[in-house]
Amino acid sequence: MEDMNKTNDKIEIKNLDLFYGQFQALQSISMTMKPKLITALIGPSGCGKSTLLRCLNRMNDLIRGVRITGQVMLDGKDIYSSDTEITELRKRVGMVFQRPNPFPLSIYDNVVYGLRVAGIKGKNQHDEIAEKSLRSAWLWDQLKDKLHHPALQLPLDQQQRLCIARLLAVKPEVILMDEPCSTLDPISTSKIEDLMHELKKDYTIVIVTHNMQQASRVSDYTAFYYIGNLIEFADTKKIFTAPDKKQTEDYISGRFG
Amino acid sequence: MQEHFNEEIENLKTSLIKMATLVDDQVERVFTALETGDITLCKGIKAKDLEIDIYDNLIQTQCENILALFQPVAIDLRFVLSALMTNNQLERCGDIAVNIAQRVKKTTDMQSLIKESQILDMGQQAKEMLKNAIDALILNDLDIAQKVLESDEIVDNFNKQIFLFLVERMKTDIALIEPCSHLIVLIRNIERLADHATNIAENLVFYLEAKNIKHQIKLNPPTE
Repeated sequence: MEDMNKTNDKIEIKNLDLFYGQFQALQSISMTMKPKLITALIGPSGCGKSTLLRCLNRMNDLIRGVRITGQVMLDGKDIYSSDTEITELRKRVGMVFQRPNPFPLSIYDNVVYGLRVAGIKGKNQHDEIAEKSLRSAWLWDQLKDKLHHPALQLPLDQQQRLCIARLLAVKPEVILMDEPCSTLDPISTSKIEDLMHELKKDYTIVIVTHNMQQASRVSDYTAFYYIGNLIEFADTKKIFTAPDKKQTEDYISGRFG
Repeated sequence: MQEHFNEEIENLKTSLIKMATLVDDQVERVFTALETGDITLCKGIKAKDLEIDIYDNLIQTQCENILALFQPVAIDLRFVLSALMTNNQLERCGDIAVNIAQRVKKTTDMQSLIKESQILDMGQQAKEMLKNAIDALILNDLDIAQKVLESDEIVDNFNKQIFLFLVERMKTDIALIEPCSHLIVLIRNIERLADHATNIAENLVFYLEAKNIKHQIKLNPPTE
Protein backbone atom coordinates (compact mmCIF):
# COMPACT_ATOMS: atom_id res chain seq x y z
CA MET A 1 0.00 0.00 0.00
CA GLU A 2 1.20 3.47 -0.80
CA ASP A 3 1.78 5.86 2.07
CA MET A 4 -1.46 7.78 2.47
CA ASN A 5 0.11 10.21 4.92
CA LYS A 6 2.42 11.79 2.38
CA THR A 7 1.91 15.51 2.70
CA ASN A 8 2.96 16.49 -0.80
CA ASP A 9 -0.48 16.12 -2.36
CA LYS A 10 -0.54 16.94 -6.05
CA ILE A 11 -4.15 18.02 -5.82
CA GLU A 12 -6.10 18.96 -2.73
CA ILE A 13 -9.81 19.63 -3.00
CA LYS A 14 -11.25 21.66 -0.12
CA ASN A 15 -14.97 22.03 0.59
CA LEU A 16 -15.88 22.10 -3.07
CA ASP A 17 -19.53 22.83 -3.92
CA LEU A 18 -20.79 22.96 -7.49
CA PHE A 19 -24.19 24.18 -8.63
CA TYR A 20 -25.83 23.86 -12.04
CA GLY A 21 -28.22 26.79 -11.59
CA GLN A 22 -30.24 25.83 -8.49
CA PHE A 23 -29.16 22.20 -8.56
CA GLN A 24 -26.24 21.31 -6.32
CA ALA A 25 -24.22 18.61 -8.10
CA LEU A 26 -21.28 18.44 -5.67
CA GLN A 27 -21.59 18.88 -1.92
CA SER A 28 -18.65 20.00 0.17
CA ILE A 29 -16.10 17.68 -1.39
CA SER A 30 -12.72 17.39 0.30
CA MET A 31 -10.11 14.92 -0.84
CA THR A 32 -6.52 14.70 -2.01
CA MET A 33 -4.70 13.16 -4.94
CA LYS A 34 -1.17 11.91 -4.45
CA PRO A 35 1.54 12.57 -7.02
CA LYS A 36 2.40 9.80 -9.47
CA LEU A 37 -0.44 7.60 -8.34
CA ILE A 38 -3.78 6.73 -9.91
CA THR A 39 -6.96 7.83 -8.17
CA ALA A 40 -10.23 6.33 -9.42
CA LEU A 41 -13.57 8.09 -9.04
CA ILE A 42 -16.48 5.66 -9.01
CA GLY A 43 -20.21 5.87 -8.42
CA PRO A 44 -23.54 5.48 -10.19
CA SER A 45 -24.50 7.72 -13.11
CA GLY A 46 -25.26 11.26 -12.00
CA CYS A 47 -23.25 11.00 -8.78
CA GLY A 48 -20.97 13.87 -9.79
CA LYS A 49 -17.74 12.05 -10.52
CA SER A 50 -17.29 13.44 -14.06
CA THR A 51 -18.34 16.87 -12.81
CA LEU A 52 -15.62 16.68 -10.17
CA LEU A 53 -13.07 15.52 -12.74
CA ARG A 54 -13.88 18.52 -14.92
CA CYS A 55 -13.39 20.81 -11.91
CA LEU A 56 -9.74 19.77 -11.83
CA ASN A 57 -8.85 21.68 -14.99
CA ARG A 58 -11.78 24.08 -14.93
CA MET A 59 -13.59 22.49 -17.84
CA ASN A 60 -16.86 23.33 -16.09
CA ASP A 61 -16.12 27.02 -16.70
CA LEU A 62 -17.36 26.39 -20.24
CA ILE A 63 -20.83 25.39 -19.00
CA ARG A 64 -23.38 28.18 -18.53
CA GLY A 65 -24.91 28.59 -15.09
CA VAL A 66 -22.23 26.69 -13.22
CA ARG A 67 -21.22 28.11 -9.86
CA ILE A 68 -18.34 26.73 -7.85
CA THR A 69 -17.25 27.47 -4.30
CA GLY A 70 -14.36 25.97 -2.37
CA GLN A 71 -10.82 25.36 -3.52
CA VAL A 72 -8.86 23.05 -5.78
CA MET A 73 -5.20 23.31 -4.92
CA LEU A 74 -2.67 22.19 -7.53
CA ASP A 75 0.75 21.96 -5.90
CA GLY A 76 -0.61 24.17 -3.13
CA LYS A 77 -2.06 26.91 -5.36
CA ASP A 78 -5.80 27.36 -5.87
CA ILE A 79 -6.65 26.90 -9.55
CA TYR A 80 -9.83 28.92 -9.01
CA SER A 81 -7.90 32.02 -7.92
CA SER A 82 -8.32 35.01 -10.20
CA ASP A 83 -4.72 34.98 -11.43
CA THR A 84 -4.90 31.45 -12.86
CA GLU A 85 -4.04 31.22 -16.55
CA ILE A 86 -6.61 28.75 -17.89
CA THR A 87 -4.54 27.74 -20.94
CA GLU A 88 -1.51 27.13 -18.77
CA LEU A 89 -3.66 25.18 -16.27
CA ARG A 90 -5.02 22.91 -19.03
CA LYS A 91 -1.48 22.34 -20.24
CA ARG A 92 -0.54 21.17 -16.76
CA VAL A 93 -3.76 19.21 -16.25
CA GLY A 94 -4.68 17.45 -19.49
CA MET A 95 -7.75 15.41 -20.23
CA VAL A 96 -8.56 12.21 -22.12
CA PHE A 97 -12.20 11.79 -23.05
CA GLN A 98 -14.59 8.88 -23.34
CA ARG A 99 -14.38 8.71 -27.11
CA PRO A 100 -11.01 9.24 -28.75
CA ASN A 101 -11.07 12.65 -30.41
CA PRO A 102 -8.09 12.97 -32.74
CA PHE A 103 -8.18 15.97 -35.07
CA PRO A 104 -8.78 15.31 -38.76
CA LEU A 105 -5.08 15.71 -39.37
CA SER A 106 -2.12 13.40 -39.79
CA ILE A 107 -0.80 11.39 -36.85
CA TYR A 108 2.24 13.65 -36.64
CA ASP A 109 0.22 16.86 -36.80
CA ASN A 110 -2.04 15.60 -34.02
CA VAL A 111 0.90 14.98 -31.71
CA VAL A 112 2.57 18.36 -32.32
CA TYR A 113 -0.71 20.30 -32.38
CA GLY A 114 -0.36 21.47 -28.78
CA LEU A 115 3.23 22.55 -29.38
CA ARG A 116 2.18 24.72 -32.30
CA VAL A 117 -0.66 26.27 -30.29
CA ALA A 118 1.81 26.98 -27.47
CA GLY A 119 4.09 28.69 -29.98
CA ILE A 120 6.88 26.14 -29.71
CA LYS A 121 8.68 26.13 -33.02
CA GLY A 122 11.41 24.13 -34.73
CA LYS A 123 10.97 20.99 -36.79
CA ASN A 124 13.76 19.15 -35.02
CA GLN A 125 12.23 19.86 -31.66
CA HIS A 126 8.77 18.83 -32.93
CA ASP A 127 10.21 15.59 -34.33
CA GLU A 128 11.94 14.83 -31.10
CA ILE A 129 8.88 15.48 -28.93
CA ALA A 130 6.58 13.59 -31.33
CA GLU A 131 8.79 10.52 -31.15
CA LYS A 132 9.10 10.72 -27.38
CA SER A 133 5.34 11.17 -26.91
CA LEU A 134 4.47 8.35 -29.28
CA ARG A 135 6.98 6.10 -27.54
CA SER A 136 5.47 6.95 -24.16
CA ALA A 137 2.03 6.06 -25.52
CA TRP A 138 3.44 2.79 -26.93
CA LEU A 139 2.66 3.83 -30.49
CA TRP A 140 6.05 4.61 -31.97
CA ASP A 141 6.93 1.13 -33.21
CA GLN A 142 3.55 0.71 -34.88
CA LEU A 143 3.26 4.19 -36.36
CA LYS A 144 6.78 5.47 -37.06
CA ASP A 145 6.47 4.62 -40.77
CA LYS A 146 3.07 6.20 -41.22
CA LEU A 147 3.33 9.42 -39.28
CA HIS A 148 1.73 11.37 -42.10
CA HIS A 149 -1.26 9.05 -42.49
CA PRO A 150 -4.64 10.38 -41.33
CA ALA A 151 -5.16 9.85 -37.60
CA LEU A 152 -8.84 9.08 -38.09
CA GLN A 153 -7.95 5.89 -39.97
CA LEU A 154 -6.35 4.34 -36.90
CA PRO A 155 -8.19 1.69 -34.87
CA LEU A 156 -9.99 3.06 -31.81
CA ASP A 157 -7.46 2.01 -29.20
CA GLN A 158 -4.63 3.57 -31.22
CA GLN A 159 -6.72 6.74 -31.63
CA GLN A 160 -7.14 6.86 -27.85
CA ARG A 161 -3.42 6.32 -27.30
CA LEU A 162 -2.72 9.00 -29.92
CA CYS A 163 -4.84 11.40 -27.87
CA ILE A 164 -2.74 10.48 -24.85
CA ALA A 165 0.45 11.07 -26.91
CA ARG A 166 -0.95 14.46 -27.98
CA LEU A 167 -1.43 15.25 -24.31
CA LEU A 168 2.04 14.07 -23.31
CA ALA A 169 3.64 16.29 -25.95
CA VAL A 170 2.79 19.41 -23.95
CA LYS A 171 4.28 17.86 -20.79
CA PRO A 172 1.31 17.80 -18.43
CA GLU A 173 1.68 16.97 -14.75
CA VAL A 174 -1.78 15.52 -14.24
CA ILE A 175 -3.81 13.40 -16.66
CA LEU A 176 -7.58 13.31 -16.20
CA MET A 177 -9.32 10.36 -17.84
CA ASP A 178 -13.08 10.34 -18.24
CA GLU A 179 -14.06 6.72 -18.89
CA PRO A 180 -11.19 6.35 -21.38
CA CYS A 181 -11.98 2.72 -22.22
CA SER A 182 -15.76 2.78 -22.43
CA THR A 183 -15.77 2.51 -26.22
CA LEU A 184 -12.93 0.00 -26.43
CA ASP A 185 -12.91 -3.80 -26.62
CA PRO A 186 -11.26 -5.82 -23.81
CA ILE A 187 -7.89 -6.15 -25.57
CA SER A 188 -7.73 -2.43 -26.35
CA THR A 189 -8.84 -1.69 -22.79
CA SER A 190 -6.03 -3.83 -21.48
CA LYS A 191 -3.52 -1.87 -23.58
CA ILE A 192 -4.75 1.44 -22.19
CA GLU A 193 -4.64 0.07 -18.65
CA ASP A 194 -1.07 -1.14 -19.16
CA LEU A 195 -0.21 2.28 -20.52
CA MET A 196 -1.75 3.96 -17.45
CA HIS A 197 0.36 1.76 -15.23
CA GLU A 198 3.46 2.88 -17.12
CA LEU A 199 2.44 6.56 -17.21
CA LYS A 200 1.94 6.80 -13.46
CA LYS A 201 5.72 6.63 -13.07
CA ASP A 202 5.79 10.21 -14.36
CA TYR A 203 2.24 11.56 -14.07
CA THR A 204 -0.56 11.90 -11.56
CA ILE A 205 -3.65 10.25 -13.01
CA VAL A 206 -7.29 10.66 -12.07
CA ILE A 207 -9.74 8.33 -13.79
CA VAL A 208 -13.53 8.20 -13.83
CA THR A 209 -14.79 4.74 -14.57
CA HIS A 210 -18.02 2.76 -14.39
CA ASN A 211 -16.06 -0.44 -14.57
CA MET A 212 -15.45 -1.70 -11.03
CA GLN A 213 -12.87 -4.23 -12.16
CA GLN A 214 -11.00 -1.49 -13.99
CA ALA A 215 -10.96 0.73 -10.90
CA SER A 216 -9.67 -2.15 -8.78
CA ARG A 217 -7.06 -3.15 -11.38
CA VAL A 218 -5.54 0.21 -12.19
CA SER A 219 -5.92 2.57 -9.26
CA ASP A 220 -4.03 3.11 -6.01
CA TYR A 221 -6.84 5.04 -4.35
CA THR A 222 -10.57 4.97 -4.96
CA ALA A 223 -13.23 7.53 -4.13
CA PHE A 224 -16.87 6.47 -4.12
CA TYR A 225 -19.42 9.19 -4.89
CA TYR A 226 -23.17 9.08 -4.46
CA ILE A 227 -25.61 11.89 -5.27
CA GLY A 228 -22.94 14.57 -5.20
CA ASN A 229 -21.36 13.38 -1.96
CA LEU A 230 -18.03 11.73 -1.36
CA ILE A 231 -19.04 8.64 0.59
CA GLU A 232 -15.69 6.95 1.03
CA PHE A 233 -12.13 7.54 -0.08
CA ALA A 234 -9.40 5.03 0.71
CA ASP A 235 -6.71 2.75 -0.56
CA THR A 236 -8.21 0.76 -3.45
CA LYS A 237 -7.40 -2.57 -1.78
CA LYS A 238 -9.40 -1.52 1.26
CA ILE A 239 -12.35 -0.26 -0.78
CA PHE A 240 -12.62 -3.54 -2.68
CA THR A 241 -12.01 -5.92 0.22
CA ALA A 242 -13.33 -4.27 3.37
CA PRO A 243 -14.91 -0.86 2.81
CA ASP A 244 -16.00 1.04 5.92
CA LYS A 245 -19.35 2.22 4.57
CA LYS A 246 -22.29 -0.03 3.80
CA GLN A 247 -23.22 2.17 0.82
CA THR A 248 -19.79 1.59 -0.71
CA GLU A 249 -20.06 -2.14 -0.17
CA ASP A 250 -23.53 -2.25 -1.71
CA TYR A 251 -22.37 -0.30 -4.74
CA ILE A 252 -19.17 -2.17 -5.50
CA SER A 253 -20.87 -5.53 -4.98
CA GLY A 254 -23.61 -4.57 -7.43
CA ARG A 255 -26.49 -4.31 -4.94
CA PHE A 256 -27.42 -0.88 -6.21
CA GLY A 257 -26.43 1.60 -8.89
CA MET B 1 -27.60 -10.59 -12.62
CA GLN B 2 -27.70 -9.78 -8.89
CA GLU B 3 -30.45 -12.38 -8.37
CA HIS B 4 -28.41 -15.00 -10.20
CA PHE B 5 -25.43 -14.14 -8.01
CA ASN B 6 -27.51 -14.31 -4.81
CA GLU B 7 -28.81 -17.71 -5.90
CA GLU B 8 -25.26 -19.02 -6.36
CA ILE B 9 -24.24 -17.67 -2.95
CA GLU B 10 -27.29 -19.33 -1.35
CA ASN B 11 -26.44 -22.63 -3.05
CA LEU B 12 -22.91 -22.39 -1.70
CA LYS B 13 -24.20 -21.70 1.83
CA THR B 14 -26.55 -24.68 1.60
CA SER B 15 -23.72 -26.99 0.50
CA LEU B 16 -21.52 -25.81 3.36
CA ILE B 17 -24.27 -26.37 5.92
CA LYS B 18 -25.03 -29.86 4.56
CA MET B 19 -21.34 -30.77 4.64
CA ALA B 20 -20.94 -29.38 8.15
CA THR B 21 -23.94 -31.39 9.36
CA LEU B 22 -22.47 -34.59 7.91
CA VAL B 23 -19.13 -33.91 9.60
CA ASP B 24 -20.86 -33.19 12.90
CA ASP B 25 -22.73 -36.54 12.72
CA GLN B 26 -19.52 -38.42 11.95
CA VAL B 27 -17.66 -36.85 14.85
CA GLU B 28 -20.57 -37.47 17.22
CA ARG B 29 -20.63 -41.15 16.24
CA VAL B 30 -16.92 -41.81 16.66
CA PHE B 31 -16.80 -40.12 20.06
CA THR B 32 -19.79 -42.14 21.26
CA ALA B 33 -17.97 -45.24 20.03
CA LEU B 34 -14.85 -44.15 21.91
CA GLU B 35 -16.82 -43.53 25.08
CA THR B 36 -18.85 -46.73 25.00
CA GLY B 37 -16.37 -49.00 23.25
CA ASP B 38 -19.19 -49.92 20.85
CA ILE B 39 -17.29 -50.42 17.60
CA THR B 40 -20.46 -51.13 15.62
CA LEU B 41 -20.94 -47.36 15.63
CA CYS B 42 -17.77 -47.05 13.55
CA LYS B 43 -19.32 -49.06 10.74
CA GLY B 44 -20.12 -46.94 7.73
CA ILE B 45 -17.89 -44.06 8.86
CA LYS B 46 -15.62 -44.50 5.84
CA ALA B 47 -18.55 -44.69 3.40
CA LYS B 48 -20.05 -41.55 4.88
CA ASP B 49 -16.68 -39.81 4.52
CA LEU B 50 -17.02 -40.29 0.78
CA GLU B 51 -20.16 -38.12 0.89
CA ILE B 52 -18.13 -35.44 2.68
CA ASP B 53 -15.47 -35.67 -0.02
CA ILE B 54 -18.15 -35.22 -2.69
CA TYR B 55 -19.25 -32.01 -0.94
CA ASP B 56 -15.60 -30.94 -0.76
CA ASN B 57 -15.34 -31.13 -4.56
CA LEU B 58 -18.76 -29.58 -5.08
CA ILE B 59 -18.00 -26.57 -2.83
CA GLN B 60 -14.65 -26.01 -4.47
CA THR B 61 -16.35 -25.96 -7.88
CA GLN B 62 -19.08 -23.63 -6.62
CA CYS B 63 -16.47 -21.20 -5.26
CA GLU B 64 -14.44 -21.40 -8.46
CA ASN B 65 -17.52 -20.65 -10.56
CA ILE B 66 -18.58 -17.70 -8.41
CA LEU B 67 -15.07 -16.21 -8.53
CA ALA B 68 -14.76 -16.71 -12.28
CA LEU B 69 -18.25 -15.64 -13.31
CA PHE B 70 -19.15 -12.90 -10.83
CA GLN B 71 -15.84 -11.49 -9.57
CA PRO B 72 -17.26 -10.79 -6.10
CA VAL B 73 -15.75 -8.04 -3.95
CA ALA B 74 -15.80 -6.97 -0.29
CA ILE B 75 -18.14 -9.05 1.89
CA ASP B 76 -19.08 -11.35 -1.00
CA LEU B 77 -15.43 -12.01 -1.79
CA ARG B 78 -14.70 -12.69 1.87
CA PHE B 79 -17.63 -15.10 2.06
CA VAL B 80 -16.38 -17.13 -0.91
CA LEU B 81 -12.80 -17.15 0.40
CA SER B 82 -13.96 -18.17 3.86
CA ALA B 83 -16.19 -20.88 2.34
CA LEU B 84 -13.17 -22.26 0.48
CA MET B 85 -11.10 -22.34 3.67
CA THR B 86 -13.92 -23.76 5.79
CA ASN B 87 -14.56 -26.43 3.18
CA ASN B 88 -10.97 -27.51 3.57
CA GLN B 89 -11.25 -27.60 7.38
CA LEU B 90 -14.48 -29.61 7.27
CA GLU B 91 -13.00 -32.13 4.86
CA ARG B 92 -10.04 -32.61 7.23
CA CYS B 93 -12.47 -33.06 10.16
CA GLY B 94 -14.16 -35.81 8.16
CA ASP B 95 -10.80 -37.53 7.65
CA ILE B 96 -10.03 -37.20 11.35
CA ALA B 97 -13.33 -38.89 12.21
CA VAL B 98 -12.22 -41.83 10.02
CA ASN B 99 -8.83 -41.90 11.77
CA ILE B 100 -10.44 -41.84 15.20
CA ALA B 101 -12.80 -44.66 14.18
CA GLN B 102 -9.75 -46.76 13.23
CA ARG B 103 -8.15 -46.08 16.60
CA VAL B 104 -11.38 -46.89 18.44
CA LYS B 105 -11.34 -50.36 16.84
CA LYS B 106 -7.83 -50.89 18.17
CA THR B 107 -8.50 -49.59 21.66
CA THR B 108 -11.69 -51.40 22.71
CA ASP B 109 -9.84 -53.27 25.45
CA MET B 110 -8.31 -50.08 26.86
CA GLN B 111 -11.40 -48.54 28.43
CA SER B 112 -9.85 -48.15 31.87
CA LEU B 113 -6.75 -46.45 30.45
CA ILE B 114 -8.94 -44.20 28.30
CA LYS B 115 -11.03 -43.16 31.29
CA GLU B 116 -8.02 -42.70 33.54
CA SER B 117 -6.18 -40.53 31.03
CA GLN B 118 -8.93 -37.89 30.56
CA ILE B 119 -9.10 -38.64 26.81
CA LEU B 120 -12.89 -38.61 27.03
CA ASP B 121 -12.87 -35.14 28.57
CA MET B 122 -10.53 -33.93 25.85
CA GLY B 123 -12.75 -35.50 23.19
CA GLN B 124 -15.85 -33.92 24.72
CA GLN B 125 -14.18 -30.51 24.63
CA ALA B 126 -13.03 -30.90 21.01
CA LYS B 127 -16.45 -32.19 19.92
CA GLU B 128 -18.12 -29.24 21.64
CA MET B 129 -15.75 -26.86 19.87
CA LEU B 130 -16.59 -28.32 16.46
CA LYS B 131 -20.31 -28.24 17.23
CA ASN B 132 -20.03 -24.58 18.27
CA ALA B 133 -17.96 -23.72 15.21
CA ILE B 134 -20.64 -25.25 12.99
CA ASP B 135 -23.41 -23.44 14.89
CA ALA B 136 -21.49 -20.16 14.53
CA LEU B 137 -21.12 -20.84 10.82
CA ILE B 138 -24.82 -21.58 10.33
CA LEU B 139 -26.02 -18.65 12.46
CA ASN B 140 -23.23 -16.19 11.51
CA ASP B 141 -22.75 -15.76 15.26
CA LEU B 142 -19.49 -14.15 16.36
CA ASP B 143 -20.16 -14.74 20.07
CA ILE B 144 -20.23 -18.49 19.54
CA ALA B 145 -17.11 -18.18 17.35
CA GLN B 146 -15.37 -16.35 20.21
CA LYS B 147 -16.22 -19.26 22.55
CA VAL B 148 -14.55 -21.66 20.12
CA LEU B 149 -11.42 -19.52 19.91
CA GLU B 150 -11.12 -19.40 23.68
CA SER B 151 -11.53 -23.18 24.05
CA ASP B 152 -8.58 -24.14 21.87
CA GLU B 153 -6.16 -23.61 24.73
CA ILE B 154 -8.08 -26.04 26.94
CA VAL B 155 -7.70 -28.81 24.37
CA ASP B 156 -4.01 -27.98 23.90
CA ASN B 157 -3.50 -28.33 27.66
CA PHE B 158 -5.35 -31.65 27.71
CA ASN B 159 -3.09 -32.80 24.89
CA LYS B 160 0.07 -31.98 26.81
CA GLN B 161 -1.12 -33.51 30.08
CA ILE B 162 -2.43 -36.72 28.52
CA PHE B 163 0.72 -37.13 26.45
CA LEU B 164 2.88 -36.90 29.60
CA PHE B 165 0.54 -39.28 31.43
CA LEU B 166 0.78 -41.88 28.65
CA VAL B 167 4.56 -41.56 28.41
CA GLU B 168 4.81 -42.15 32.15
CA ARG B 169 2.62 -45.23 31.86
CA MET B 170 4.79 -46.59 29.05
CA LYS B 171 7.88 -46.07 31.18
CA THR B 172 6.42 -48.03 34.08
CA ASP B 173 4.88 -50.89 32.12
CA ILE B 174 6.39 -52.15 28.89
CA ALA B 175 3.15 -53.97 28.04
CA LEU B 176 1.45 -50.59 27.74
CA ILE B 177 3.73 -49.28 24.99
CA GLU B 178 1.51 -50.42 22.14
CA PRO B 179 -1.86 -49.36 23.61
CA CYS B 180 -0.44 -46.04 24.77
CA SER B 181 0.99 -45.43 21.30
CA HIS B 182 -2.49 -45.88 19.85
CA LEU B 183 -3.83 -43.43 22.39
CA ILE B 184 -1.12 -40.87 21.59
CA VAL B 185 -2.16 -41.01 17.94
CA LEU B 186 -5.75 -40.69 19.09
CA ILE B 187 -5.12 -37.53 21.14
CA ARG B 188 -3.14 -36.07 18.26
CA ASN B 189 -6.26 -36.50 16.10
CA ILE B 190 -8.49 -34.95 18.73
CA GLU B 191 -6.13 -32.00 19.04
CA ARG B 192 -6.20 -31.51 15.25
CA LEU B 193 -10.00 -31.62 15.32
CA ALA B 194 -10.01 -28.73 17.80
CA ASP B 195 -7.54 -26.83 15.61
CA HIS B 196 -9.86 -27.18 12.61
CA ALA B 197 -12.81 -25.97 14.70
CA THR B 198 -10.70 -22.94 15.66
CA ASN B 199 -9.86 -22.30 12.01
CA ILE B 200 -13.55 -22.44 11.07
CA ALA B 201 -14.27 -19.80 13.75
CA GLU B 202 -11.38 -17.68 12.45
CA ASN B 203 -12.77 -17.94 8.92
CA LEU B 204 -16.12 -16.67 10.17
CA VAL B 205 -14.46 -13.66 11.81
CA PHE B 206 -12.64 -12.96 8.53
CA TYR B 207 -15.92 -13.12 6.62
CA LEU B 208 -18.04 -11.04 8.98
CA GLU B 209 -15.49 -8.61 10.42
CA ALA B 210 -12.92 -8.36 7.59
CA LYS B 211 -10.21 -9.20 10.13
CA ASN B 212 -7.53 -11.81 9.80
CA ILE B 213 -7.09 -13.19 13.33
CA LYS B 214 -5.19 -16.33 12.44
CA HIS B 215 -2.48 -17.22 14.92
CA GLN B 216 -4.14 -15.06 17.60
CA ILE B 217 -6.68 -16.01 20.22
CA LYS B 218 -8.73 -12.94 21.06
CA LEU B 219 -11.10 -11.30 18.59
CA ASN B 220 -9.83 -7.90 19.68
CA PRO B 221 -6.27 -8.32 20.91
CA PRO B 222 -5.23 -5.69 23.46
CA THR B 223 -3.10 -2.94 21.98
CA GLU B 224 0.22 -2.36 23.65
